[in-house]
Amino acid sequence: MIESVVSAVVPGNSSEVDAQRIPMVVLGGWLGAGKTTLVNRLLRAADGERIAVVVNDIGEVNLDAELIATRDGDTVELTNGCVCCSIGDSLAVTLRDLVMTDRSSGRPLDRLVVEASGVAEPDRVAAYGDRRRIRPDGVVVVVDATDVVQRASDSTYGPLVVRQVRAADLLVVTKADLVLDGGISAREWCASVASEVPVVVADFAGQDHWVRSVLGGLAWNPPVAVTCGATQTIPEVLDLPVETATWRAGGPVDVDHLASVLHEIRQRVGPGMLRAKAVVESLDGTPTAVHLAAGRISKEPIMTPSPGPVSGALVVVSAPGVLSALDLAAALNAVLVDDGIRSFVEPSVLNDSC
Amino acid sequence: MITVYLARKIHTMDPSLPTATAIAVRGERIVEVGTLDSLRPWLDTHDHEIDERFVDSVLLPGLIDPHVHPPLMALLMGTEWITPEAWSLPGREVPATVGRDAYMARLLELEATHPLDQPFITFGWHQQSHGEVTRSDLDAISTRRPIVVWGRSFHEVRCNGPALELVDAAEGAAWDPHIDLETGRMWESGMAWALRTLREILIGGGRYETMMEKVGQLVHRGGVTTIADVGFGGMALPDRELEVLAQVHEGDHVPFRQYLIPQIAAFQREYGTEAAERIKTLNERASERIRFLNATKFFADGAFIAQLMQLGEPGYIDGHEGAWMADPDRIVQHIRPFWNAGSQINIHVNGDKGMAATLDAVAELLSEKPRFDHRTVLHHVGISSQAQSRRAAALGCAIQANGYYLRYFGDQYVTEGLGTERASQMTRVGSARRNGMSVAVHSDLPMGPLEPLLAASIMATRQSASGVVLCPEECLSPYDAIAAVTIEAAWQMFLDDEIGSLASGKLADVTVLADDPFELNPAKWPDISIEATMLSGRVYPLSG
Repeated sequence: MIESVVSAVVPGNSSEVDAQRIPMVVLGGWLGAGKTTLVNRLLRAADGERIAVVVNDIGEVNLDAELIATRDGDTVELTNGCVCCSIGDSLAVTLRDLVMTDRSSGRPLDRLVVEASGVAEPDRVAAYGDRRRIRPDGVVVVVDATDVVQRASDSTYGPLVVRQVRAADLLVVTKADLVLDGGISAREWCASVASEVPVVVADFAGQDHWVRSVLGGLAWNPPVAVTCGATQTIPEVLDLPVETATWRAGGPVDVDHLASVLHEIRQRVGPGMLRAKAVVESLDGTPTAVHLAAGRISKEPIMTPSPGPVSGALVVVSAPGVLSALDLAAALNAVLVDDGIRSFVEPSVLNDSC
Repeated sequence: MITVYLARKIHTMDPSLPTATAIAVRGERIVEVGTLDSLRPWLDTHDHEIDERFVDSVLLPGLIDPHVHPPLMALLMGTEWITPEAWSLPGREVPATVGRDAYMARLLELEATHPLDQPFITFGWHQQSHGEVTRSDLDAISTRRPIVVWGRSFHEVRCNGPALELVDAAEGAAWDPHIDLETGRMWESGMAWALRTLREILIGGGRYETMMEKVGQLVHRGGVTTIADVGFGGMALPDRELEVLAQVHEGDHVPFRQYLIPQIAAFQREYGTEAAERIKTLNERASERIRFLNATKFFADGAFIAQLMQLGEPGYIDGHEGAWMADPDRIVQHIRPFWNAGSQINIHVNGDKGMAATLDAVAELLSEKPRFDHRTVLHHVGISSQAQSRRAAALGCAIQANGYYLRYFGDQYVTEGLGTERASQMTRVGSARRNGMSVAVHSDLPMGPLEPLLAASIMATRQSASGVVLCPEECLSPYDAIAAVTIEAAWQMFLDDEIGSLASGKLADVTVLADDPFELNPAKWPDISIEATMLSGRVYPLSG
């Protein structure tokens, strides 16, 4: 599901030749909610990608011995190419060491996953991802079905729990099999405090197929090839319906203008606008990707895998009702250089089973 | 040979014999305290000499500062100080500087006299006292020499262009969101980035040892004979730190002994699962002046000075949130193995919400494994409620307050941050005494100056910098204030059988004063001249 654009390479238009922005997901949630379990699953489900996971305490990540290739202090390299290390004194330095070390080893990382401390504000951690060589790829917050409702009503910790959940782009409800109601009250609670954030119910006992959804794979990375009005097969792990719209530019685009339009729309509609991704040709002909993730806009030149025109497609994913209330076409067509170039915007409901 | 020191007055801080005029010392210990007359049975039997050098002076038990950070102070010793409050440092007196104009004038003055080939680093900038200072202000002073302005709360620096280059801030900004090249601001983890370079400049190449020696001078000047570094391992690797201490702070010429209390998180970061074992064997490294206690240090919530403590309802006036230094749910997990092993527990706690989490942890540990006389010490204790004070007492905890919060931040926290009621009741020490708790006072050097008489004075007067008395109901009595830097500090370290008061059999640790604090208004205590100290029977005069 990961598109080539994600791991594409920036051309040498800056001093940082070949600089590559690696997508970074932040994994938040209260202590004991299941972040470490999820990290374990992620590392196993890497599916050929090189994922580096930064955790609070590497001693708590119970990696199978056969999965460990080398261990050097706080850094474990896995046989599947993934890396797991602890945050250490400075997250910035840790991230730099991870990225720079890997760059010199010749095989760059595909992704970064950072586990936030149980009492951290995950969006603050996400700020480390909005940098020159790393781009934010969303905040996933793990919610413990067995105690989140009670925890949230606690006068000491409740406000922080709520803030964590509201900072999320995706919620993962864990331990649903341990509560009598199967996690319904936890999901209802999530909907009550963060109604627009999609919810995945973790199935740690079963298959791994859902695990990669936290990497922005399924839910927030719909294939660009969505055709207008078509109803997508819904990923079974999604509890909330998601609406998408696709817009296609037939020619060069003012990228800065596109970014500011996306930013304005996001400001106006709020977190209901979950994710957007465009691959367009800029005014000087550079193929460029524009992302909206975790409320932040980022843009970067890309190297297309093969010569030829880029798709020019923009896909927007939102909570239901958000896109249909907007005149996206009018807003987006303004960024086109030539008014005559055809484009269209059409919302399509991806998931209406709840 | 017994030496009898005669004095104008001796305050023993032992309630059974509160005052005396003679103290007999043999070797490192006190033979007896009393009058020349009452000492007769000893003097008639043993060789002795009468020493009259303190005959016009007043003796107190050797003062104790039970919570300091010498390595951090060593780092700052190499900087120019411009602080909102006055400091007395070896070789320089730092005047209080308040207001933006005064700050910038002082900055210009010090920068102009600083060697041209060296970066100019100044510590003590405090936004509320000194106003905003950004890169453009500093570039206006020099675009060639690096200028670093280091915040009083320790959490951030402001740099000019050359300083940003010096600390490689552009590269840092590629990784860290807490670096703003435009304003020259580097804070939190961005500050840690800058520190990698600044540390080398300030204490690299043998300078650390020199600066640690100066910290030792500060200890002596404060009239202090015992300190505790309650963050051992947090600033430097324990082994490296012990090497330096053995070199600089060991030997008969050193007028104080220091106890090192390991910061558990730092040990765990360094040694992982072997941390507990490492800590257990530390005592093998003890020497005459460098010692260990069966004690450990933990954290609850964020810093008081940076307004990062965790406040319960109604929170901060501006609505900002505090921070946790440890997962509040995990405090109990961190402490448990050390609690179960009988370690004396020290917890850094500043806000009332931090206090709630801390007391919950102590209550849970007590119910799991009851301990009598555990002397769990709550350190700093910025904001706490009356109910928490009673609960802490019921749980058998002791209070170790920062003596300076109220003086330096009292006025400001009334208007900014907390409001009148809670700010005026910060460091709630009077209630702690009434509720039956031990109360000691510390400096948390370099957060406050290592001057126990000043800290005790502040806790006895509760006078803020502007002279306002903040909640007189929470004053310590003069006796309790002196006890807070002597016998109560000793008790909290399980050392009250050895130090903290003057009595037969105890170590002969004495602080010699020119005036009697109990005859003076406590507001005058900081002016009392400290003439000498005695450590284990050996006299260390103080000149000037």
